[in-house]
Amino acid sequence: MKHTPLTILFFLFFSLYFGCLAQSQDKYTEALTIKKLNKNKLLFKFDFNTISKNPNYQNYFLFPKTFGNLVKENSLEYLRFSLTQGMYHLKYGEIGRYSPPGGELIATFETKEDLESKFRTVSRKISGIFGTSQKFSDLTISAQPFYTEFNSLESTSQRTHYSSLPREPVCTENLTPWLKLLPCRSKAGLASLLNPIKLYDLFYHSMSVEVTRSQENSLSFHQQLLLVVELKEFKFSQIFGTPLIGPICPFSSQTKIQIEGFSDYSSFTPTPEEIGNNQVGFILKENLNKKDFNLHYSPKEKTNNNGYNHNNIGNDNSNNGNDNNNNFNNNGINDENISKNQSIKLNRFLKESGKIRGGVITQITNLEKNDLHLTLYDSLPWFMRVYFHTLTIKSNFENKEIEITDLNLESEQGNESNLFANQASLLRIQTSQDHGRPSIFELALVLKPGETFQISVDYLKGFLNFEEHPFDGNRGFDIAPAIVSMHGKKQNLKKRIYYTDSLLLMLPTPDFTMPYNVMTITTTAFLIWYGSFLNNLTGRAGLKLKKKSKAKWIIKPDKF
Amino acid sequence: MKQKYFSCILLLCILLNLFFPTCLSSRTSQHNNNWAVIVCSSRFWFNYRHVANALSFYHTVKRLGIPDSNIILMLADDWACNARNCFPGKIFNNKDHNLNLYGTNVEIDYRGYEVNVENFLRLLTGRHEPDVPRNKRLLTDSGSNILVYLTGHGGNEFLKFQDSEEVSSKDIADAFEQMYQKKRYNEILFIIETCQANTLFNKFYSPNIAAIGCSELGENSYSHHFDSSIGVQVIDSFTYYSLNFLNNIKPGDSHTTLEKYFNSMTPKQIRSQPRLEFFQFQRNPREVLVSDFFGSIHDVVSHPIYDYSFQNDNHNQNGNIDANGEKENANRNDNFQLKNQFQHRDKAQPNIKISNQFQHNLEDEAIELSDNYFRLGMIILIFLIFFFALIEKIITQK
Repeated sequence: MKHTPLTILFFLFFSLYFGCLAQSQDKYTEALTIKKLNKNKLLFKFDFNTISKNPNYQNYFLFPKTFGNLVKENSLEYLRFSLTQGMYHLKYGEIGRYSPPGGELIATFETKEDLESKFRTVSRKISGIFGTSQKFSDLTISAQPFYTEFNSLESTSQRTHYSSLPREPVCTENLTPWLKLLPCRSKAGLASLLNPIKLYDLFYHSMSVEVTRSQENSLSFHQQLLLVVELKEFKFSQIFGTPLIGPICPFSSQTKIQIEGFSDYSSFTPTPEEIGNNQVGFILKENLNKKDFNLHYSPKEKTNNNGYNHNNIGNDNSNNGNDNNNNFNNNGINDENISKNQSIKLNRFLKESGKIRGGVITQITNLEKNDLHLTLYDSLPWFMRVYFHTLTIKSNFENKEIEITDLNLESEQGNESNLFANQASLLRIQTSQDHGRPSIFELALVLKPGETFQISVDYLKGFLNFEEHPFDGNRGFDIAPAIVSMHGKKQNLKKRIYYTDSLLLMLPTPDFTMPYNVMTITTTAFLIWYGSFLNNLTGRAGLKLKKKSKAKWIIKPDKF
Repeated sequence: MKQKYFSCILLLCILLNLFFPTCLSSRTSQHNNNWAVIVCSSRFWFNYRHVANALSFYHTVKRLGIPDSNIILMLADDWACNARNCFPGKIFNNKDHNLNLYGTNVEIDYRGYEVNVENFLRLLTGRHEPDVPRNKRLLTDSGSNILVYLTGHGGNEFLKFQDSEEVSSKDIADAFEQMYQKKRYNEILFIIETCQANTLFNKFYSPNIAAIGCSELGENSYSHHFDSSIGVQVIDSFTYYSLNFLNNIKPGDSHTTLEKYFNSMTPKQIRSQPRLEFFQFQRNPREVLVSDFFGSIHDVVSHPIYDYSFQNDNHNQNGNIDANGEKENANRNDNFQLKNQFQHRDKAQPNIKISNQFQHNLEDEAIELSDNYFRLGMIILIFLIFFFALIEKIITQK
C-alpha cells in the first residue's frame, strides 16, 4: 500500500510541528537490535522508549494515557507486564532482560499497605487492556518476592507483587493493543514491520511493557518486543512480510537499527556504518531517502541444508544442565562457554514417583570466571505441600551437603554483604495455606566458578476441590518458573534476572464423568429390577374374546 | 355558541397536528443500537469448527456495521496459536483457505477458562463484580437489539460449556426474563447451532425474542466439510449456508427479512430440521429484517488511522509462500467464496459517514409521505372549517 502524497504531506507537517514539540515534552526513541546468538539463532529486539519528565498526569502527549492514569491512581513505582510464547534458552546467549513463557506481571507500589487489593486492581486493568485472562491476581498464584530486584529502584523489598501464568495463551489479538500504545501505532516507523501473523511462527516471541517512575519524577515507558528466529539468509520483506517503507515516525527523536554479534558486516546490504558508542548499524532519516529499506543478510560461507552448519547439529540437542546421569564431575567452565556469552546454566525439573509424593530440583551452574552472588526465588502452589526440612543443597565441588544458614530476615533487607556472607543462606520461608497462598522459599547463594548447586525440596501432593480443577484438568498444572537474580558486585556484573523452566505437575484427577455414570447405572439397574418385579406382580394372564371376529387365544397381561 | 363549538374543534385539530405524531409509522423496529454476543463454548482442538462458526458470524456482524465495542466474543480455547495449528495465527472456515478469520482485528472479550456458564449468565443479566472491565459487560438498554449466537455441543435442552459444564434452557430463559424486567433489550435474535438445538428455546417466556435453531429434538447438527491440511472439520452446515446467504447482504440493507434468511436453508442442505420461532413479538414477524440484528442502525466507518489491517493476509493475490512452502490459494470461484465487500472491508470506505440519524429507507420515505398526507388532510379540514364558518357568518349577517 503506497502512501499517497497527502499522507506524506501529513507526516511531513506533523514532523515539523511535533518534532519541536516532542523534544520539549516527551522524548520518544525507537531502536531495533539485530544480534547473532548461539545455536544458529538470530535475535530481533524492538525497543520503543518514551520518557516523560515531570508529568502532570493530566495532559498526555506521547506517553500513553492509560498507563499514566494507572501509575497515578494506584501509586505505582514500577510495572512490568509481558506476554511470551516459547521459551528463551540461556544457551542462546545473554540478551539482557527476557520473559518467561506465558504472562507475567510485576508491580512495585509506593507503600507496603494493602498490596493485594492494589495488585488486583492493577492486574484487572492490565488484563482488560491486553485482552488476557484475569487470573493474575489469583491468590494461589501471586506472591511477593522479597529479595529479587526486578529493576534499578532502591529497596523495593516487600512492596513488589509478582504473578506468572505460564499457560496464558498469547496470540495475534494480544499484539494489536500493544501496537496501539505506540505513538505512531503500526503505521510509521519500525512498528510498521510488525505483522502479527508473521510473528507467531518463531522460536521465541515476547512483548513487554515496562513503566518506571524514577525518583526525579520522570516516567519512562518502555515497550520491547523480542523475536528469536533461525539464522539464515534473510530479508526484511521475507521475515516481516514487508520492507521498511518510509516515512519513519515523526515523533521519534532517533530511529536506529543496531547490528551486533556479527563478525562480518559486509554480508549486509546496505552496509552498516558506525553510529557511535562502538555500535554498528543505521540511523534512519525521515523519508528513508525515498526508497524502501530492505535489509538483506546473506552469509558468505555457503552452508548446506538451509543454513545449518553440520557441526552444530549435534550440539543442538545438548541439555541445559548436566547430563541425565547427574554427573557432577564436569568442570562447567571452558573457553567455549565463555565465548558463547553465557553466565549461568539453569535447570529445573520434577522428581516424581507416583501420585502421592515428589520433589523439585533446581540446578544452577556458574559459567563465569568469578564468584556469583545469586538469589533464588521459588514459589510453589499450595497443592504441592512442601516439607521445608527436606530442603537440601548439594554441590559438585564437595561431597557432603552444603549447610544452609538460616538468616530468615523478615524486616529490612540488610547489607549485601550480610546476605552473601555464607555459601548458602535461607532468606525467607513462607508456608502455604490450603486453597490459598503458595509456599515460597528464597535463598542467597554464592557460587564459585564452575560450581553447580543442586537445590532439592520434597512435597506431598494435595487434594483439590472438585471445582478447582480446570476444564482440561487431565493435562496437568503449570508451575511458574523460579527466578534467579544476579546481584551486581564491584566487578561490573550487572543485576540480571533469569528464569528457569516452568513445570507441568500431574495431580490425581477424579473421573469427572463419575456422577453421570453412577446415576445411569444405578437407575438402570433399579428400573430393571423394580419394573420387572411390578410387572410380574400386577399382570394377569387370561383369555380375551373378540366379539365380531373368531375367538382368538390372546394372553395379555395388564401392564402397570 | 356555534362559533365556540367550531373554535374548539379547530383548536383540537391544530393541537393534534402539532403535538401528536402520526401513528401510521409502526413498521420499523424501534431499536436505536445493536449488540451481538457470540459464544463458542467448546474446548479442544477437534472442535475447531465451532470457533470457525463463531468467528464467521463475528466477521459478518462486523462487516454489516456493529463495532467491536458492541460485540462480546467468547472463545473457550485458543486455536489460532495452538501448537497443533499448522497455520499459526490463522483460522479458516473453508478448505480453500480464502479468508483468515483470525486476522489482526479480532477482539476477544472472554477467552479460555473465563468462558463458563457463570460468566455467560452474568454477562446476560448484567450482574458483574464491581471491577469487571467495560469490554466484558453487555451495556445494553431498552432500545438495543441483541444478536445472541451460541455454538458448541448440546443436547435436549442443554448446551455444553468447555466439555464439562452445562447451561439449560430454563437458565437461559430466566436470564432473558431478567433482561426483560430490567429493560435491557428491545428485541433479541437467538441463534443456536448445536445438536438438538431447537429444544434450547422451549422454555422462553419473555416477549420480543426471535429464535433460530438448526436441529430438532433427536437430530444432530452436522459439519459441512473436512480440511485435510488442518486435519479437522472446518465449518458446520448451518453456518456454511447462513454465510452463503448473509454474504449477499450489504450494510444498510432494508429489504431482506429474517424469514427469507431462514428459508434460504433447506433441511435437505443442512441435514436437519431448523426452526424459526417468535416469542410474543410485538411487530409483525414477517417484517423483521436481517439488518435489525446483524447490522447496525448507525453508519460506521473504519477510520484509516486506526485500521491495522495488513494486505497480505486476507487475499493472497501476490502468491505469498505459506508456512508449508506451498503457494497460498488465490481466489477460487468453485466453492463458496466471500464477496468483494468482505475482502475490501478493511480498507476505508469513504462514502459512509458516521451519523446518528436513522437510515432513510424506501419504506421510511413511504411512511413519511403518508404522514405528510395526513397532515395535509388535517390542514385542509381546518381551512374548510374556517371557510364554512366564514360563509355561515356572512349568511347570518345577511
